[in-house]
Amino acid sequence: MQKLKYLVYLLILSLLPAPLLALDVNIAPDREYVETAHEGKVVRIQRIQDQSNVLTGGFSKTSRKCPPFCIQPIHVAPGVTTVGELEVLDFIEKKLNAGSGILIDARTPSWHEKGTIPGSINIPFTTFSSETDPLVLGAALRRLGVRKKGATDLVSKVVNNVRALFGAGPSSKTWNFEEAKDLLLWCNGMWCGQSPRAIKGLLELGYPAEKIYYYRGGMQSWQMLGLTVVIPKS
Amino acid sequence: MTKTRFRFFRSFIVQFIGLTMCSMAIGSMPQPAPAADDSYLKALEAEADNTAKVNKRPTKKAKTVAKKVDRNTKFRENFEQTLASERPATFTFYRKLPENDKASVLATYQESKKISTTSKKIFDLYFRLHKK
Repeated sequence: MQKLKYLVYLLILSLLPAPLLALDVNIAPDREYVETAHEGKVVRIQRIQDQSNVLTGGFSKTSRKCPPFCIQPIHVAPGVTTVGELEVLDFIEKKLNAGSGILIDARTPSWHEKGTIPGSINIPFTTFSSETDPLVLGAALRRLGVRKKGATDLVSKVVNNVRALFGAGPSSKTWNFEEAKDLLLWCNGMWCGQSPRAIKGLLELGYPAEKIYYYRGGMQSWQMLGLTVVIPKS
Repeated sequence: MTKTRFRFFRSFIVQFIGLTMCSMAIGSMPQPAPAADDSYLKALEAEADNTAKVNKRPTKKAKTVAKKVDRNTKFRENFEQTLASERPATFTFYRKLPENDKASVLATYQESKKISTTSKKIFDLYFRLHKK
């Protein structure tokens, strides 16, 4: 009789819709997780379910010497949009996964290798400085969908060198941003200047500000919310 | 007049060529990295090293908690593997339960050590959830 009862349960319950959310700790009332690819594998970004979990290690520190680790402003530069975690996840779902956006971990490799936000590629902020080797810069910009304009003639070289004399960097006359992707840059958190420096470097190169997003909360906020972190293999 | 103009244009051309050559020479010279950027990079690397050390020093309490979590995790994994292999349909409904109900299921299994008793618990919890 018991067995029959369970068989009936199985039949009825298989027809019932599953509950919308199976997790206790969700990202949003209607969002359990977001999936993306990282180093060729699907990664599920969700929150840690253990409600007694606490942050330990470096990202639980409250204070670091300032300068250089000073609190960063909300608005990093005119035209650049500052975002929070939900916007980062929207970016991952709608732009990164669609191929029209790139999530950039702008920290130096020693930080990146400790753990990164899934879907991120590591382009250290130093790549976009005026001292970077043109070949390195070119390779990085190509990943972002930026192309070099036609070969510069003598007059253009002179103009750029005179501009450099007066402290101006290469202009958008060098780079073609028509197919540039949307970029979302982040670093260690509200006390970290790495991604702001990367953003300023990109703007100086002529990258359209409206295509740049800044996740000010960074790894600090990401971990504070118990969101998934991946340790890069490369 | 013509001579004056000629001299003027000649001096202009000489100056322009000179300026061009100077700017090309300066532009091709490697520029030294600003000292501020070097010190910032050094500070970053030092902080990265410091963060690694902090992460490698779990407290005694954290170690005890970690061991307990590890034991609980292994118990749960063993239970889920057993349920999945012996009662795959029941496992499907177990997966759809919220975490606190899953904890209740695990407690039942720990006490009874019987899959049949635990399966009943799973259905009761699932059906109660949908009755709401």
